[in-house]
Amino acid sequence: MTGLTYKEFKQNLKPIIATFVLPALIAYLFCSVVLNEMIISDLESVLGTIRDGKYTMVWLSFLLIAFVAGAFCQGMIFSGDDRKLWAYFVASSPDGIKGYIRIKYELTFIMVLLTTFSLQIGSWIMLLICASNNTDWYNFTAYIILLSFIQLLLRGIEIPFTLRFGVRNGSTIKLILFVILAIVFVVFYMGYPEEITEFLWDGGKILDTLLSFLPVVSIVAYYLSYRLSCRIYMRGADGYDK
Amino acid sequence: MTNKKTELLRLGLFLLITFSLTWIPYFICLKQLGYEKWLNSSFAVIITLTMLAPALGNILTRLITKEGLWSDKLCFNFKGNFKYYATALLLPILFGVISVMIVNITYGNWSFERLAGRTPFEVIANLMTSFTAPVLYYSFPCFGEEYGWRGYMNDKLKSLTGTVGAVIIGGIIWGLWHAPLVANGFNFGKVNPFLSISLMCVNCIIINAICMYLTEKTGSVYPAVLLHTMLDLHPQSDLQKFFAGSLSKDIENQITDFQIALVLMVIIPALFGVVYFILLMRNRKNVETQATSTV
Repeated sequence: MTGLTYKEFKQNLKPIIATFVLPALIAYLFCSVVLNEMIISDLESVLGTIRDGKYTMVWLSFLLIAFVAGAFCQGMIFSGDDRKLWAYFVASSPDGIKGYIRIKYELTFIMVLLTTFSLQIGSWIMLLICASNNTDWYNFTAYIILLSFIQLLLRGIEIPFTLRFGVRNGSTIKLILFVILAIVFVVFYMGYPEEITEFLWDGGKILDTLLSFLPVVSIVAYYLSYRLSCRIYMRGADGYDK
Repeated sequence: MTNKKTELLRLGLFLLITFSLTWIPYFICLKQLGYEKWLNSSFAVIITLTMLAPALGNILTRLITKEGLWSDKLCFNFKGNFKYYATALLLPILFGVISVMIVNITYGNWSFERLAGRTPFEVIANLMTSFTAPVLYYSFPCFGEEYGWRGYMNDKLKSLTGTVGAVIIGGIIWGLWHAPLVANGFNFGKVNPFLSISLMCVNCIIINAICMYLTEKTGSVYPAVLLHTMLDLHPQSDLQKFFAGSLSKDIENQITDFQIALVLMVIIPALFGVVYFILLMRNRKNVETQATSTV
């Protein structure tokens, strides 16, 4: 097992480092630069936007982009391993398919954590910079936690597709499914806008309750996804390139 | 002998880096802002950031001494070790339940007013929000500490002084690391600094025994990270909010921060710490017996 872990760390060192460095740079540095260059002239005013509650959506959008960048890095750890030869080799190794897939899931989990920690550290550094400039920093903690668990849930959905259909086909199928889901939601929303808004918000009660269960739901779903992946891996391996 | 000397040098270097990275910002903040102003300002985040110092100390020492960056303790080792992860998660909650019971039995303040008018589903949802979501957020600084103390220092101390030495000396070093904050009243309130630092060391010895046991049994630092995170989340205060009404003003005025910390950080953990220390010693004996029989 240690050997497989070592192999994953060695093989994916660049995506691992990127998943730790990129999100913070995108969410805070890049957003500051964009605001500074395009909207506000001086840095002190850029930092002041947080205190004054201006451009919060811009900051949040960059936070979302940071998570997408993290997701991109997380997806990279599967590329290169979707080979028939490797699949048969790993199946015959002492750790077997379960061991191999477990390491992949653990690494993905670590990378989700790294994305979160990257944004956390970035947030703390921004807090210090703002404090040095006698201004306040908006607390993005709740958004970071929420998006992290959503990301874990999405990885749990994505990985079985990747293992079953290969990296390229898997991501295409996943994309098609998400587009279908989005279309279904939009169609329903257009049909029953008030009912859906009322159901989702209801003074924030239902949403709050859903969010409180999200950590447990995403972790359980992630575990179930692992079990599913173990089952379907060899079926997927038959369709991989040599 | 040479091996021990090398280990001692490595440990010394690790401690030098870790203490420097922590104490230098602390003393700068204390000198520039003063304790109260520092803790009430945004600069208080430095305390959280310095929790990463032991991990940085571990990494930098490994780089300088060319020990290699890889550590087996970075693996999760979930298989067969789920009970240790569950222990790490539940033990601090048990501390919380016991402390809530002590407070309520002592002051007879059983009250379920806060539970009234809520559905069980809502109560569970609230508890989930208090305990599950923040774990992810707080686990990183706690990883910073555990990867340094349990992932590096304890290994070196164990090879130099054995298990008992690693628990006691490691706990004292860990306690002293908190000294600049504790001496100013961070955990035990404004009491004699030597008393508060000593009690912090006792607390750290106890928690060190539990964390070291979990780390040795699983071969991973993550159960210790989980335990540390849960302890830092103070589950007792949330449980108190849910299951008891507020204490009367008379009683509240009588209780000091020192008394609260003494119960929560020393007395209750000590009950469990002793058990885990015995388990740790038994584990060491088992390992030694296995090694002898293999030879």
